[in-house]
Amino acid sequence: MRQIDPPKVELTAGEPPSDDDLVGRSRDDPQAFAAIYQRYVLKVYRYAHARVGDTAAAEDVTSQVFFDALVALPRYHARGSFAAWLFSIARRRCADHFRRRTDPIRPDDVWPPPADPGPDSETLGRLRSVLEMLSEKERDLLTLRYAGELSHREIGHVLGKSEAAIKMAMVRLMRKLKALWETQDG
Amino acid sequence: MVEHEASTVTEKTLWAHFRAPDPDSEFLAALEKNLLARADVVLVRRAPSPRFAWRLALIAAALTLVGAVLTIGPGRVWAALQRWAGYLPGIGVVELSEARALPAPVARTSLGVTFTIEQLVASPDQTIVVARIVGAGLRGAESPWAIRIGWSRGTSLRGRAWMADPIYAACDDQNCPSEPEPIGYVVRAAFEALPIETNRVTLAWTAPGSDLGDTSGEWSFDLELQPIDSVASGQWMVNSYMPEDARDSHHGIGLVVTRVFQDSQATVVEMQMETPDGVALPSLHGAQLISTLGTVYLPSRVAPVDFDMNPIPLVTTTPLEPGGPTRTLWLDRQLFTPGQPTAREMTLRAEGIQASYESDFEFPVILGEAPAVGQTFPLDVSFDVGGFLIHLDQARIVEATLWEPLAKPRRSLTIELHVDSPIEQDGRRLREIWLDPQFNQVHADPFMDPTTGILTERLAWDTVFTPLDPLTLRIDRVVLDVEGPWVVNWPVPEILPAERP
Repeated sequence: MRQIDPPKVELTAGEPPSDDDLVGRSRDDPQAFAAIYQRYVLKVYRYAHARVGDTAAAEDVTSQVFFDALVALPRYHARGSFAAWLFSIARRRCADHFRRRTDPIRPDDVWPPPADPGPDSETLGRLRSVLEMLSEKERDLLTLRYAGELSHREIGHVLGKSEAAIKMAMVRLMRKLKALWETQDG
Repeated sequence: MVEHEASTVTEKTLWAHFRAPDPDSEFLAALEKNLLARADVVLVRRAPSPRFAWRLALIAAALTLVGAVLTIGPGRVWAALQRWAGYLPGIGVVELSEARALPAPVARTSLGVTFTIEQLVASPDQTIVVARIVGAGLRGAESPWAIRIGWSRGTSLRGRAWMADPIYAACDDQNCPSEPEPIGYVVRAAFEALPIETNRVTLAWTAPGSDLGDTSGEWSFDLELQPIDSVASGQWMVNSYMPEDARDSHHGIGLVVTRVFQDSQATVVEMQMETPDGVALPSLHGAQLISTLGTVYLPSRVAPVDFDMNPIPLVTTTPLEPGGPTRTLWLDRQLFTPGQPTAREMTLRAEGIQASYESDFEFPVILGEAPAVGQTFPLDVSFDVGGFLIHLDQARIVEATLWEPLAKPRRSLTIELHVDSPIEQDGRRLREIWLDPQFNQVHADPFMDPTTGILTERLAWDTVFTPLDPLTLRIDRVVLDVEGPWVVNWPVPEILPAERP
């Protein structure tokens, strides 16, 4: 039986440790988990907020994601992307959130209005109506990309697709968005 | 970069659309603190290596601990460790200085629903609640907004973090509904800190959207908290006795009874299990408590340890000689029915100990381009854990019901692995092989055919996506039933501490 030794990494000043470095160090020093948390909590929170739609529920999902990740961390192995692994948990937790609801899901729940409409609220409102025409899978793709800030490769890991497949899906999705956008112009 | 087929206006707007408001900084800080407290328990599993000076200091501390165990006994060392670490069963590590808690669980049953406050801990920096809700018509009852804590009119603590694990009724695979509803939830919630001088609180539970009817609207509990010292140590801890040299060992796993409490209500046995390196989470099965009067006391329940299921990793002892084996001590407690006060000797007998053996073995399964349900793939894969040999001869794609602890059961694409090597070897029996789930995979319950004795392990996909080819499977750990029996005897003091005036 082989033993698994966490990677031992000497870090130089100014060089940020990789995710896998931090995971390896967390196994020896749980305080290193704080660095992982700080690196990803905003992205996970924004992803959760984009999916579940309100602050309290987003805080709830974010908490659950990091507690799940903490418990599962000893089983994580650095063969893919830590971000993708973490967002796989986040996707499942968001799905759980909607499964548990008892009241009917309104469009605003799955596609909440932007918290800060900004100067061009008319454009954002128009985008929102375009996004509502997309399928759940298409919305998921966009949320992982723009709220979770994942790369194509990381999204591929989350969704069980190749990086090339995600790139192609994104190209097609952006074409569709553009077409829908222009339809609204008409 | 996003591709250029879309207009730049669309891309810019997309980024703006998904820009959520920043989360509350107090929430972020509280969550980080809770996570780090939990991380100390969850992540620390192995002895530190002597690479850095501070690790040498830790080794020195561990050796000191071993010396203390040998000198004053493991029970007392554990009691001191427990006070130092601030570990509370079912909750984890909390800051215990100036903390208050419930002296005992509080429960109420109405309309077929039982709401139990397992524990409420008010520490200087947070308030933690562990509640168990069981009954019918509970949809929405696990909501983060369902519990409120206040201490006077108009006061309410703000929630910070929340976990709710559904409880499902037991059923066999043939009769399980495809999408059963939970029969209850275990809820763990963290709130902001209670004012330091406040020891009387009201906990109100509301079940929004539940089917409980008008009278179920809100359940209110008036609670009185007590200083944590008297709760954490517990009266039974104070009035217990510590047997000397009460131990037995088989297959490299030691069982030591460290503390016993006995009165007219119950018998509590605190024990430590010692495992070799790479063996984790030992758990007694077939445990009996026997007195010299011949009475057998069956365990009425397992005392709350870690999430009511797992022993707590207590300390990993470093090798006394370079290259020697490391050992891990695990704390466990069992609650038995009351013992007979006239019995002068007790025996704890465990027929076996179930333990998890770490593994790091991986192998590919070549699925081809379009794997289909029912398709089989021949394998010739051998590996061993702790000298236990395992051979896999076949993989098969099936559709199976997937049971996850945090989600509803559902049908899912699953790969089955057939074990054709002997299930029993050298006093140990193969119980489960855990495959390390990656990305959208999840481990599914294994299946043992009672007629053939063939064990089938399962790994399922969280979505309907076709698995990547070749599929690399990694054995994460193997659960073995280690046969005993472990038999531990000790004399009972003539005057029990609980009977002293």
